[in-house]
Order: sequence, then structure tokens, then C-alpha cells
Amino acid sequence: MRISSRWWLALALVAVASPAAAQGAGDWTTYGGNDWNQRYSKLKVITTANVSQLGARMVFQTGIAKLGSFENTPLVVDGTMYVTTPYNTAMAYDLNTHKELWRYEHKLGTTIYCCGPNNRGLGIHGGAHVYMGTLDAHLVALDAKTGKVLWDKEVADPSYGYSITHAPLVIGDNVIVGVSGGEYGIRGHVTAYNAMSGEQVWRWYSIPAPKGDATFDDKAPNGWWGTWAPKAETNDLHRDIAKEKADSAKYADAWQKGGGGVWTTPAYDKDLNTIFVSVGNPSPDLDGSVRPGDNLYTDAIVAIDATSGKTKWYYQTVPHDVWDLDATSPPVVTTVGGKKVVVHAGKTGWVYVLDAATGKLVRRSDNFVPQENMFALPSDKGTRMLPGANGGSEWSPIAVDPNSGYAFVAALHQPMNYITHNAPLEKGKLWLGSAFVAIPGEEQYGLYSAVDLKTGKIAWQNKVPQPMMGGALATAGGLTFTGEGNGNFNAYSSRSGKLLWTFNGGAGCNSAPMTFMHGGEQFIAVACGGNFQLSYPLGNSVYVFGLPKRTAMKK
Amino acid sequence: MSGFLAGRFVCAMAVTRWWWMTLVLVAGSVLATSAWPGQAPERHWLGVNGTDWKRMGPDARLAYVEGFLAGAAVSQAAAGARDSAGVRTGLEQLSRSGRFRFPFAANVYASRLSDFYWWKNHLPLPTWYAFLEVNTTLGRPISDSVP
Repeated sequence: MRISSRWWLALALVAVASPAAAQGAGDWTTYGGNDWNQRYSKLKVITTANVSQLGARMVFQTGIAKLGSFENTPLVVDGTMYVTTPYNTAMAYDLNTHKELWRYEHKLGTTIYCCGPNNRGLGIHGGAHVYMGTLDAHLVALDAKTGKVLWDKEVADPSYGYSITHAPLVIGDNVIVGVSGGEYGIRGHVTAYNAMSGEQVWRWYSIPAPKGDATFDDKAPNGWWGTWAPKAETNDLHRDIAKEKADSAKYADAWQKGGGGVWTTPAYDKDLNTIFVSVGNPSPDLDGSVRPGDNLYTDAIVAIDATSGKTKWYYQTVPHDVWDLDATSPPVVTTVGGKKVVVHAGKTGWVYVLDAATGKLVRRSDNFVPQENMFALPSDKGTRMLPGANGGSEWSPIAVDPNSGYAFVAALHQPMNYITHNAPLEKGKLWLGSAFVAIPGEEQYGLYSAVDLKTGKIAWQNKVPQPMMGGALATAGGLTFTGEGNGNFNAYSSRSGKLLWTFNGGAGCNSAPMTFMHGGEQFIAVACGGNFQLSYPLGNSVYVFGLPKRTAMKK
Repeated sequence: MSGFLAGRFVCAMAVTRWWWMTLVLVAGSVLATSAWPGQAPERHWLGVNGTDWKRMGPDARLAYVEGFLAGAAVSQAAAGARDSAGVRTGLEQLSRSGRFRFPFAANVYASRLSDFYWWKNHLPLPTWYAFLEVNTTLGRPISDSVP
């Protein structure tokens, strides 16, 4: 059959405009690498055989004096790299000339955020517009070519504790954005905005309201009180449910300030027309006595209809959380044994594999960090708690290799005492931190693990000197990449976990890396600018690694 | 009790328009009696501490915080004002520019104060002090160009 030239033109235009097509060409067009958030690239110029030759081919320094947690994953579209800084400056670099094309500095108003300034990146729409969420809870649309502001919307009032740190997700003509602020008595939400006009399309609340409220959610008929679950799967939560029920009337309005930030980038499945989000902790974090009930949908993975913004299903990992072991790492969609699943690495130290259509638990993996006294309550003398309050897996995105079925998880081992008194008052420190006290003399370290999603077993595990926060990348070249707080950026064999290459970036490489093709070469990029919360050395560099020019050309 | 707080702050700033203070006191008292029935601590507001805080219900905590924030805001505006009209203008300007000394909403402070008093040995600390501590940790408006 002959196709007319008009059809060819139409196909070409679709290919240019479609992020999926662009990614096929070697661009990295969304925070998680694709709509499924897999952080897996089919690129395989860089392999286990040649990765030892990797070197820094470009270094982009933001030049920003005010440093914070540099958690950005750059985007690359059509020869341009887009980067954001912890205090919401967005910038574009030309990969041919290595010159800065533009920068946009957001003038921050009132800001409030719990765990250090950060921003994880941008969303992009059709290659023409980029979107940044800000610490003062705005969503800003910029012209991708010039950095000029197209529109700027206040998503929520920042004086109430709202902020935005994650990279927005672009689906069709909608920009999807959640909010941080679970430490400040917010009511979390996810909002869809029209990419062109900035008009709100829908808003989904992460704390379901009781019957009678305009925002009542029929998937939670008992509101945020839920089903009074005594266990998290097989683990006893040590709840006094009778007392909680008795206190319900007294704290009937607690849901209005129930927390539930959605502060990492959701995943999206086109066939199911569903967005999958991780919902953070209830508010207040630790004092469960003032918020009786399961505190839905905190600590949950929730499926939301992408068109209507209505809840489809939820899976709560920790009902009535008083340990801050919430759901923060971004959810990932993949297939396991022919079934479409949603994967989440919890602060609890387990990887959850859920049926993407129903939310039913398919399996919970073996623990990828040591666990002890799971869900034990605090005591006067201190209850030894493993994992500590940071997890497990914190916000760090996992990577999933769909061929091997491995999920690569960067995790923390921080033994802590969970105590109810005698915490010293430290001026200027976040008060919450005093709740959990590191156990003197006990080693803290990081663990980088491959979790076999087919079996739930740990396929391999590497120990690194410091607790890990940043994220993972996997490629078809048989490699997985991740960084450390000491500045090391590492490549491992994804099959065996063998360390094959390392580079020290001079500051903590505490961001999720990405990869792209440019000029016929494959590159790996990572922001090495440290982490404020863990006191890892700060910096402002984005490293771009490639093979030596000659080797690359041979390919 | 929140009326005490608001009133005392205004007094401290030596505002000459007494009717304004009276208004704040009356408003605060109404707020307190409606939201804090039977729970008012017996001690002077300067001595209100974490023990009192733990006795309050969520609504009373919010009312207390609202009273504190109102008092602090009025005193801040009054510091640069010559009359009541000046106070009102000052309040509007501070609100628009986000320069209140305590710039966040009541839910934020109530949440952080609850965390602050989670620990027994902090209970004797007066609530006004807790406010200052919490406010210090909450950060300030910042941008990349202002080191």
C-alpha cells in the first residue's frame, strides 16, 4: 500500500512531538525516563565490556552560590539539556556548544520545606514547553527555547506549609503535580493543569473526606479512618484500635490537616489510563493519638484515573503510621510474568509488587535492608528500630530492568532508637529529627540491591560506606548506575552486581542518573551536588560521561 | 487565653490607640471562650507551656496559635505606625510582602508545636519560646541570587 506524502509528513510530526518517540531516538524526556518511571534505557553503546573507559566529557556547573540538595535528573531533548537547582533556577544547555542557552530564576516568596531545599527536575510538553514546581508551591510553564514564562500558577498557599519539589509529569495535554508538606498539617493533593493555558483540569485529594463533604471519595467509604487495619500484611502494628475509635469524635476534623504529601513523580500507564502515586506520611508524623484511624491514603500507592482524577484503587503499606515509614520512592510500572504490575520500594525495607489493574499485592520482597522491631512503639529507654526513620528506600527512584525483572534499589541502613523522652533541644534543628536518635557506635551504611521481582528474592547486594540517597539507572548495556554521598558515581553489572567503574564527583552524587544519545554517542549524566539532610558535601556540577571519542566513533 | 496573648503583645509595643487593644482583647477573648471551654490553663500566659499544650484539644490549639499570630502581627504592624489607620496599612503591607515575623498559617505552627512538645522534658518550656524555636526552624524567603 502506498502512503501519500501527507501521511508521511503527519507521521513525522507525531514522531517529533511524541515524548515516547523522542526517547526512542535516545532523548530522556521525563524524570523517570518513560511514563512507566522505569529508569531503564534501551541504549547499549556503553556496555559491561567498555564501561571501564568512561570519562567525563562535559561538566555543567550551575554557578549557583546558594547550595542545597542537588537532586535533579536532567532532561535531554533534541540536543538541549535542561537542569534545575535546589532553589528553583531552571537552565538549558546546548550539548553541541556546551554553552548555556537560558536560565530562569524563580523569585521565591514564602517558602517552607522540611528536609532541605531541593528540586528534582522538569516536565516537558511536545518539546516546546517545560514545567517546574517550586518551593513556594507554584507551577511555572516556560518556553523551552527561551526560558520565558508562559504561565505561573500557585498550586497551593505556601504559608500553609505547601511546597513542590518533584518533577511534574506530563500526560497528553495535562501537567500533573503533587505537593510536599506532610510535616506541616497540610491536606495533600495531586492536580492536573492544562499544559497550554494553566487552567486546572482536576484535583485529587490524598486524604479522603468523610461522607457529606464535597470531596468525598467513594473508594474510601469510611473516609480517612479506613478499615481499622491491625496489621501491615503479616506484621502487627501494635495499635490500640479501641482507643482510636473512642477518640474519633474528639479528632473528627483531623483529616483536614492529615498530611499525605505526594512529592515524587507519579507513573502513568496509557492502556489503563491510570496515574500511580506514592503518598507520604500522615500529619503529625509521630503522634498518632490525635489522628485515629488508618489515615488513608497516607503511606499508600494509589491509582488515579488520568481523565477524571478519581481514585481507582489504593494499597496502604503502613496503616496509621507512627514511624515515618511512608511511601516516598516513585512507583514504577512493569510486567512480571506477563502481568502488568506497579512496583514500589518502601521505607519499610520491602519492595511491593502490586497488580496494576486491581492494586492487589502480588508479592512483598525479602527485606533489602536489615529489619528489627518492625512497627514497635517508642519507649522511654528507646526502641531499637531498623530500618531507621529515613528507611529503607527514601525518595530515591528505583530502576527496573524489564528483561531481567530486577529492580535496583539504593537504600539506607541507619539504626535508630525511637524514644519518648530526653531528646536534647537543639536550636535550629528540625524538631522531628530528635524523635529518632542514631545509636552510638553502630555502623551506618548504604546498600545497593537487585531485587528479583519474579521471586521477591535479593539477587545481589553491594554495601557502600554511607547511607544511600539518590537513585538508580539501568541500561540495555547490562549496566546499572548509582551514586554515593562521598562523591563516588558507580557502574555495576546489572546481572552480577560487580563494580565495573567508578568516578568521584567531588560532592555527593545524590541524584538519580540518566542516559541519552547525542551525535551518535551514548552519554550518562548525573548531578553531583550532595545532600543537605544527610550532610553530604554540596556542589553544583552535572557530569556527563562518555566513552573516549575514538571508541565512541567506532561504534 | 489567646486574647491575653494578643493583648500583651500590643501593650508591649506601646500603641497609643487603646481602643485598638481593647478590640484585640475582646476578639481574642471571644475566640478563646468559644474554642477552649473549660480547658484554659490557670497560669499567666507567659508561663503557658507544653503541659498546657498537651491538655488542649486540636481546636483549642488552633485558637491559641491564631491568637498568638494575631497578636504578633498587630504588634509588628504597630511598631511602625502612628495611629490605627497606620496599623491597618502596616498589616496589609506586611501580609502582601510576606514579611510577617511569623509568616506561616496556624496549621503549620500548631503542627510544629505539637512535635516540639512530643518529648516530656520539653514540657516546662514556655509556649512563647516554643514559637520562637519553631519559627527559627521554618526557614525564610530565599532565592538563588541571595546567598
